[in-house]
Amino acid sequence: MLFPNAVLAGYAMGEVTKLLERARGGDAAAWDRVVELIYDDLKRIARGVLGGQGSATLNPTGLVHDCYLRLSRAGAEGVLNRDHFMALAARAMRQLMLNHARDRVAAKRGGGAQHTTLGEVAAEVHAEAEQLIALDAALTRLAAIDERLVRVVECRVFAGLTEEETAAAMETSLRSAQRLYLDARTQLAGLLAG
Amino acid sequence: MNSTPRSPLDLLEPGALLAGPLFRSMLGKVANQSRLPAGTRLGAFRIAEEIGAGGMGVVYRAERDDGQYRQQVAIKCVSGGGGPDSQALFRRERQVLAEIRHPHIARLLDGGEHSDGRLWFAMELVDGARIDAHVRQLGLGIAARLGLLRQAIDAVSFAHQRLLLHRDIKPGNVLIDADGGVKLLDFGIASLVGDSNAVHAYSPGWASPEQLAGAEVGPASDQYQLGLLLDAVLRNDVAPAVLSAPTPATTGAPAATGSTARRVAPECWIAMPAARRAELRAIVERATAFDATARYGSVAEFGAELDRWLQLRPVAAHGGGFWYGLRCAVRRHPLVASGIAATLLGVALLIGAFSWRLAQERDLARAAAARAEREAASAQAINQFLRNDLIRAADPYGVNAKDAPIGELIEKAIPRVQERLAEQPAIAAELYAALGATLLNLGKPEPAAQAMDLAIERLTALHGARDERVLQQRLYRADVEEYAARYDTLRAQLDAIKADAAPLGAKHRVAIAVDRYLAWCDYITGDFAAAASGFEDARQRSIGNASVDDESRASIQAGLSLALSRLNRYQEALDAASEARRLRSVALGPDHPETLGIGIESATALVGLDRIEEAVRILGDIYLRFRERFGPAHSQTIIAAHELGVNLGRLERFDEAIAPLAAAVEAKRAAFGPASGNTMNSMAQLALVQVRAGRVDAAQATVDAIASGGYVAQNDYDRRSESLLYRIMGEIALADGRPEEARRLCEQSRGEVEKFFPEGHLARLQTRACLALAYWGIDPSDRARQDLLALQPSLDAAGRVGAFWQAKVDVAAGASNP
Repeated sequence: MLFPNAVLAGYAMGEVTKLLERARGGDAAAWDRVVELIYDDLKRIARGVLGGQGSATLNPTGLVHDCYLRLSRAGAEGVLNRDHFMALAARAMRQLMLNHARDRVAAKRGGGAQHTTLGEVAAEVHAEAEQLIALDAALTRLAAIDERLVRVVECRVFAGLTEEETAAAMETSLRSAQRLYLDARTQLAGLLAG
Repeated sequence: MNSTPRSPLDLLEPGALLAGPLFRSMLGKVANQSRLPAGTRLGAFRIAEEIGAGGMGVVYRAERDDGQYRQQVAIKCVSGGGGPDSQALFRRERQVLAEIRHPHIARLLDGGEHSDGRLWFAMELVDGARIDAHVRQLGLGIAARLGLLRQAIDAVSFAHQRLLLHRDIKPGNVLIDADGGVKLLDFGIASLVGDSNAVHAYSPGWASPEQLAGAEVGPASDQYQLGLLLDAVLRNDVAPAVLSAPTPATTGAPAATGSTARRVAPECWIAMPAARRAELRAIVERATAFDATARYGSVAEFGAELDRWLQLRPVAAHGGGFWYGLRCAVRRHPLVASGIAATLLGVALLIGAFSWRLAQERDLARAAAARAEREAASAQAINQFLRNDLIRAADPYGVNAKDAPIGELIEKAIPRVQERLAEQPAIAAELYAALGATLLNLGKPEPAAQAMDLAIERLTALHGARDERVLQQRLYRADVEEYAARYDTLRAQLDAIKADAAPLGAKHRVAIAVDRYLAWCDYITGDFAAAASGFEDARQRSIGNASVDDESRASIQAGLSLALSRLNRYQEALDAASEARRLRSVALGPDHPETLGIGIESATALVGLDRIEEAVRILGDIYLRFRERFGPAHSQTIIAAHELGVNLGRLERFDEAIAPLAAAVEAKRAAFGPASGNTMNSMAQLALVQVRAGRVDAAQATVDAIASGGYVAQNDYDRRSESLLYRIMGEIALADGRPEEARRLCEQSRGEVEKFFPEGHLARLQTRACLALAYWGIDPSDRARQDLLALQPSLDAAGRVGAFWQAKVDVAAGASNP
């Protein structure tokens, strides 16, 4: 079967392309669908990682690649630019991880009970979730300064792209991508300190 | 252990976020919706296979795997994300759930957290259909449907009294177990998993308004779901009216959880009078009121209301009022109430109430008629099962360990018939008769006789001693005597039945059946002439007799055929067999085993007519069909295999004959044991074709197996077969170059053969021929040559068998006298 998941199967081939184009253009509903697409692939990969074969390492870049290949086969090929898609996927990953972080923090608050018995792993997750929420808030503010600084962080941090891949996704030179990332770190440090 | 970043900036290190605990926990949550492979160990259990998946998780069948004891369980795995913060809380609640014991609640046995974070719950495994599918499939009436729902309500009420909520009642969680009772699954699982994301996990359409609103959830929420369940159980068909809902989910997008209420649809319910429908609708609507405080005070109250409805009493949910109360009074006590009505409200009201009641009665009568029809059909189905499936499956050859438990079960069932059906002697009699027939076929003549005697007793009490049903059952009872080979008792019983059946007239089918049994009795006791005339007489009386069915006619013709074959009247026997086959084909169909079985009679007659090729064709055909249809161990298959092998041997197709005879031997050894004469007979025939096919070692192994199997002759039939066995062993010794041993064996054979076979019989001739060859083998003297020459005229006259021995004689004579 060409379309292994329900989300994709709900769309005709041409529509996938339109959907991605609309998402890039800022259409919120289309954006939600892209997040679902990525999430679906994430599920598939999570099964592979945790479902049995033992390897705990995950290559998120591979995840994004897989997702792209699947979309290409779904008819987006030729229209959908691979590098654009990488940037889009990185943004989707940010969204997914933020949602998850919020769920974790909310779950802990919602329980209302003492947290003394929380396991060590759970405590780590909780701490990182709160860090991520803070980082996301800083990124949102950073977007007002320079949208490109946000894109570069998304590619490097959330999609795990290499410097070269990041440069390609942002349609810029390797050197520019490196500089942008350094700038972003500096700006974020300022925003988080302030 | 991963070091936890102290600042959000640490997350900016490439790879840090994706290698950290938050990302892993997200993957864990995502993977919770994935399947666990078979063999995965969860606590003391090992997953065997997936058996279902729902909004809340995946369900597996699992087996206890800690070496303690064997136990099958259902394991439900659910997402652990957003679960209870405290492990202690989880354990405490799990303990409370595990202690709940109710016949209609599937027990929680164990639970825990898998290494990837998902929670699992081991529950009593219930193998059954969903309640809604069950009621529709069986086409249950309204009372039966409400009865099942009452069980679910009782179970929920029981739990509420122990301060436990279900939170996820829906048809998928209410199964009907093997005993036809309700089992509620997943009790309290929703609360164990935790509230924070429980809304996402609820099945679309089944969440109560307070669940959807994320408000405090109490017993009224379970009542709401039970109300929806009642609606679902009353529906005639698959629910059309579930509003669309987003997938319960875990996507990051803010979930749109509102506005997904299931609609109650009384117009889809099964048929019932309009007024009754309106009442029931009021009950369902009250239980599913949007405002929790508008519902019944408790689930128990909801149940009590349904009881009132079933008892035709006024229900609280109905707006009520004077008219309503009066109508209820009328339907409960129509005569008294119509009197009241006449006095108080006059004739107009009386007519109104009466016509209403008439309409209701008509609906009820329709329902009752449909139910009665169904019940009759199911009773018939039970009987058909017992008589056809069970009895045919448990054929007389099947007396082995495998069937013993069935026989014991049936034996134990006999006293229970009396307990359960003391008030219904007619049904009891039917059951006794069927159980008796089954027991007989399972090789248990004594309990069979006991059951059949009870059947006769009940039938006699019901219909009188001379009733044809009684006489018919006494005929079946006589089968027990035949089975036990008590032929004197058999004949005495048949004579008694014949005397009692005399008033019915000679042409009555029972009278004809008695005579058929008597003729069969003659046949098995060896009086073939009497048997033939008995069958012939029965045949004459059944001509143009509409009371005799085709199956009985066929049995008469089949018996006649066998008797005529024994009288060497083979052509008539063949005609009778053909007629029997035609009749059975009409009555039962051309491929029915009883129809095909006549092939044995036809083949017997054909062999007598020396039309052995035709006999072999028929036997080859029915052997394959029987083996395909019943398997190699079935009695008919065994008979066909044996006869086929023997007749292939007659055609000197020895190589082909080995396989069917070997199959017959194997099946008979399993059925009768290696020591049985019946088994020995087939083994002797196998050894014969083996030695004649030139496989001397195999033939020797076969006769050795007879000796080591512990065979001892039980009767004259065995001794007759044994007399032939000695000659066959002689043939083997001769072929193996041991003429002295061959002589000894053939002399032993000759003494025995002369007791059982008349002068001129081929068996005598073959023994003589073999003996003469043995003498010639020991010493090719003139005396031995004279003996061989003396055989010549007899062999010339003996057709194929003669030619076979003649060839041996020629070889022997030529070899030693060049």
